[in-house]
Parts: sequence; C-alpha cells; structure tokens
Amino acid sequence: MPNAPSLDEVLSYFETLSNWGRWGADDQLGAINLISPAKRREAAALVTEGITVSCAWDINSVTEHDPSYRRPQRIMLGTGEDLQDPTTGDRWGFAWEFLGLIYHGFAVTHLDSLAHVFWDKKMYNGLSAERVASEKGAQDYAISVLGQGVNSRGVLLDVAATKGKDWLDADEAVFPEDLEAAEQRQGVQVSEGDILLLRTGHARKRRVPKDQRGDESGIPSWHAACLPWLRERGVAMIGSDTANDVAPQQYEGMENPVHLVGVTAMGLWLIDNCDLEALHETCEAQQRWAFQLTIAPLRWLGATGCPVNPIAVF
Amino acid sequence: MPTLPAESEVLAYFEQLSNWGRWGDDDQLGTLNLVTRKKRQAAAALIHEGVSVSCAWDIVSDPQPDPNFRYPQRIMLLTGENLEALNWGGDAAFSLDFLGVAYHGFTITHLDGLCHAFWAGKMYNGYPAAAVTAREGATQLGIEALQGGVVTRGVLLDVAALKEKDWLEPGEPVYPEDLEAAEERQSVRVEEGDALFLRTGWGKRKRLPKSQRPSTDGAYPGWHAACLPWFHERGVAMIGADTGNDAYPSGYQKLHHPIHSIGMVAMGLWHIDNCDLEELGATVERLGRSAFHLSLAPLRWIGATGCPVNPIALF
Repeated sequence: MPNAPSLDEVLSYFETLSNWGRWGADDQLGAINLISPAKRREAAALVTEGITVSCAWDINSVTEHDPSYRRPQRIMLGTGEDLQDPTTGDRWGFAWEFLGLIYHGFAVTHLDSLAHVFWDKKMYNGLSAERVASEKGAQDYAISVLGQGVNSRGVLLDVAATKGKDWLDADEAVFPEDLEAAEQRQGVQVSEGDILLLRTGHARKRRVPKDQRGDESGIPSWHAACLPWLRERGVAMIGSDTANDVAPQQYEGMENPVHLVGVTAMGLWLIDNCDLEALHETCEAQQRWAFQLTIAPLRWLGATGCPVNPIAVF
Repeated sequence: MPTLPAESEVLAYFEQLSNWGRWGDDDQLGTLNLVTRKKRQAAAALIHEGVSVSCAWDIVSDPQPDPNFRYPQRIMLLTGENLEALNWGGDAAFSLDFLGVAYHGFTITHLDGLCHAFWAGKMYNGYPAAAVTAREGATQLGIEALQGGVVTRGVLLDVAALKEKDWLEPGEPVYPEDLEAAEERQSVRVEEGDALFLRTGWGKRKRLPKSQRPSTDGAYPGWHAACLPWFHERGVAMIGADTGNDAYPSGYQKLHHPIHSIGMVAMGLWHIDNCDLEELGATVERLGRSAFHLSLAPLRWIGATGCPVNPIALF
C-alpha cells in the first residue's frame, strides 16, 4: 500500500491546497473556473458516435433499496384513474404530481454545492457558515450559481477494472498511484478542467442481491492522498459510484477529508452516488475513456445541491 | 390573418398526425425517435464559441403572489447557524435540505412526460390513461423513458423580434406563417430531429414589476393548433416556449389546449413549458446564429409525469 499522509499532513492541505482568493474574493464557482470555452470545444470534438450515456441511478419512490435512503416522495395530484366519461364529459385530462426529496446521502445521484460543507464554521473562500440559514437557505454558493450548466471533458478512471476486480473491497482506499495506473492502462491523461469520474464497481455491487455482496461494512473511494493530485491536475469536478469518501473513516477527528478539504479549501465540486456501469461498458466497447459530459442542475435558489443526471456523450 | 382550421379539422389531426405504432407498439419515446446519432454529431459540430446559455428560470422558494405558482419547498434540515450548539465534537459540519415542487403549471421550467396528457382516456401510442395511478405514478410513458437525456440541435424562432414587439399580446397565437417568416428573417430552417423553441417575449414581460404587468386572466401567447401539421411535416422532436406552449384561449370549444392534447397524445411530441428565452434570444442576435447544441437531462424519477429541467444551449 502506498504511504498514506498523516493526520497533520491532511490538516495542512487546508493551507497548501487552498484556492481561497485564487479567482477573487467574491468567487462563487471554485474549481469550475478551470473549465474554459476552449475546454468545452475540446469536449465537443469528442462527440464522434452520437451516443449518450446516463451516469445517474433511477429515483424510485416505491421500493426502498438502501438503508441510508431517505425515500423520495412522488405525490400524485392528478392521475388517469376516475376520469370523466369521454362520451359525455371532457375528453382531455392531465396527470401531475409533487416531487420532493432529500438527495444528500448515499443513494441518490446528486451534486454537492460549495455550501454543503463547513470546516471551522467556514465555507470555501472563507465565507461564514452562517450564510447558510434556515429561512433563506444558502445565500452564497447555492446550486443556482451553476445555472448555466456544466459542460466539459469527462474522464472515467476505472480503478476496479485496473485492479481486475468486480468491485473494490469494502473499505478500500484509492491512491494517486491507482489513478495513474488506470491512466496508463486506459491511455488517457487527466488534464485541467476535466470532470473526473472514479469507478470502484460499487454500482455493480448495489445491483446484486444483498446476500451476494459480501462485506458491506465500508465504502471504497478516494483516499485523502488524492487531494494534492486532483489540485495539481486542475480537476474541476469529481464524481464516483460511491459518496466520494472512504468509510470507515481513516482519520480520527477528520471525517470525510475529500468533502472537507475538497469542497471547503479547494472549491472542488462533487457528484455523489453515480451509476458508472453503463459508462464503463461504453468506454470498454469504444476503448476510449474521455467524452463530453454535461450536467444541468436546477436553478434552485438557496439549495445546497441538486439531484442530477450527468450525461456522457461519445 | 391566416385561414384557421375549423374545430372539426383540428379534431381530425388526432388521426392525421398520429404517430401511434410508427416506432413500435411499445414505444415510449415518441418524436424523440427522430433524434439520430448523426443528429447529435451535427449538434456537437455547432459548438464554436464554447458559450453555454440556460433556458430555465430560477426556482424561487420565497412566497410568491402569483396564483398559478405552486410554491416550491426548500426545507432546510441542517444549516451553518449555531454550529456550536450542535456540539458534534468536531470542526466539520454539513448543510442539508429537502427540495420539492409541483412543477406542472405556468411558472417552473419543466419537461412534460408523454403521460402528462390524456385524450378520451388514452395516452400516446394508445396506452390507457388508467396506467397513471395514484400509488405507482406513471406505469407507462414515465419521464424515466428519457434516461439517456436529450442531446440534439436546438433552433430558436424569435417571433417577438419578427413582429418587432417586446412581447406578443396575451392570447396572441403564432401561426406556421409566422414560423416561416421567422425562419426567413433568421436564415435558418427547422429540420427533422430539432428541438424548436418559440420566443414570444413573455420572459421579458415576466421580469417587469407586478404593477406594470396586469393580470391576463389566463391568456398567454403560444403556438396555434395550426402549427401541429407543420411540426409533423418538419419532424420536430421537441417544442419549448417561454409560455406554456399552447396559446390560451385556444379559440376552440372542446379543445382547450390542442398543442398539449394532440401534440402529446397523437404525435408523442415532447414539450418544455415556461422556458426563459431572453438570454438565448440575445445570444442568437449577438452571434447571428439561430441553431445550437441543446442538452437536457431530466431526473430518472420512476413514475413521474415530467420533471423540472434546465435546458442548456451551447454555442
């Protein structure tokens, strides 16, 4: 196993990896600033097949399939049951409903806004955590700052396949060495402005019956040691088929270092709980691990994130 | 004014413009079948400047005076206030919220699933309306049919600019003649597989203070029913407008919203209601280009009859 940084070293990342002030004192976009118009053109040039692949899970309001799943609410307000008799009454009708959910957690595919994470009562760029309040929600870094959508080159690093595993072990941490081994195997190099997706195979594990999943005591993901690597490469956003931090926690008093340092110090955007199985299959079939990726969160003022359906286009 | 089809003629569209069975008995995609891989490749080739423009309104959770507005809910469950009181023993904390909205209506930018509209107890492709139930939601034609998102060429036809108006009048219908005049003015032609957006200027009107825009009593500009054969002939895959798409009132007795009823039920035509097309219109003018790469990614919500969306145009 590669050398893991000590707790003190990880704590020092808050200083050494900080992007506070890098894009101005009033910046709301963080690492998204690394996506240039030229990067979007580069991404567009990757569309040669015209194939789209979703990186999201279904949102299911009926069947609960995860203990940490706060069941999404789909409340039907108008249905096709009990319509008027079309021979005597109106022939037209409409179905409609209320949709609502708590998307943060370990089940729904969602984007964390930079208002989701606090450290020392501060958020990215040094703003006070109190800017996220009960009545007005997030008054800075609400998800609506990404109102124009995110469009860039996406890169899948398939660490499960690189290690020849169906899925990584329950508490397996991914190190920069693993990322570089995947780059080498796949013939791809992560570069500035990329959206980097990590496949641990966890989505495959989620699909098999509970009694065939083996050890479920933890969740594999990026080790904190990846944080300097992500900053050096200029990654604009990360996503994975888990919630982007290893469980059980590896540092006492420093839980979820990728969320804490990534979001708070670096202004790095995270997509949690992707389904990367279809993407993995397409990448293998095309023998290509870079694609155009678009994410269009709702322009919900004050929200600390948003359920999303990231679309990869080949 | 163009010659308008009689109500009996419009009712006949249910047969004449029908796409039932065209893409198979179990088809769930309707006119989105017209978006081919080639079409997506061609759309990507339209990205020159790398500029992205949203076609959606902000979702505002503050109380609104608009009676059509079904107040979106943003319930804060964890915030950054009084973190000391939490006494979690660490320096880390997270915020958390519940988001919920009844998005159908005249405010929120949303995509209608093909299960949203019924006619005579049926939906697109002949599926029974009763397949949308209180417990299971839409068991056919739910929004999850679009799981791979929509990526195609988008075209904006700016009928407000064509008519040199800030916005069309409440109730003002848009006819095929207007669409073709806009095509000519903008040097663009709507083709098979396009997502077609209509700018009525209503987004500009919505930005005025309430006192300067009197209630229109439910009257909106939008496509006239006469556009339906035109959509069919051109092979439009999806329509969107800065209103609820249908001109209200429709001008017909039994057909209150022919664009929704015939478009969705007979043609399987997808609708994006209540777009904000002001920035898109300005970008089209500035770049002198009316066609762009459009992407749309509804949530894969099983059984939902639509979804709030943020359509993104890329130039």
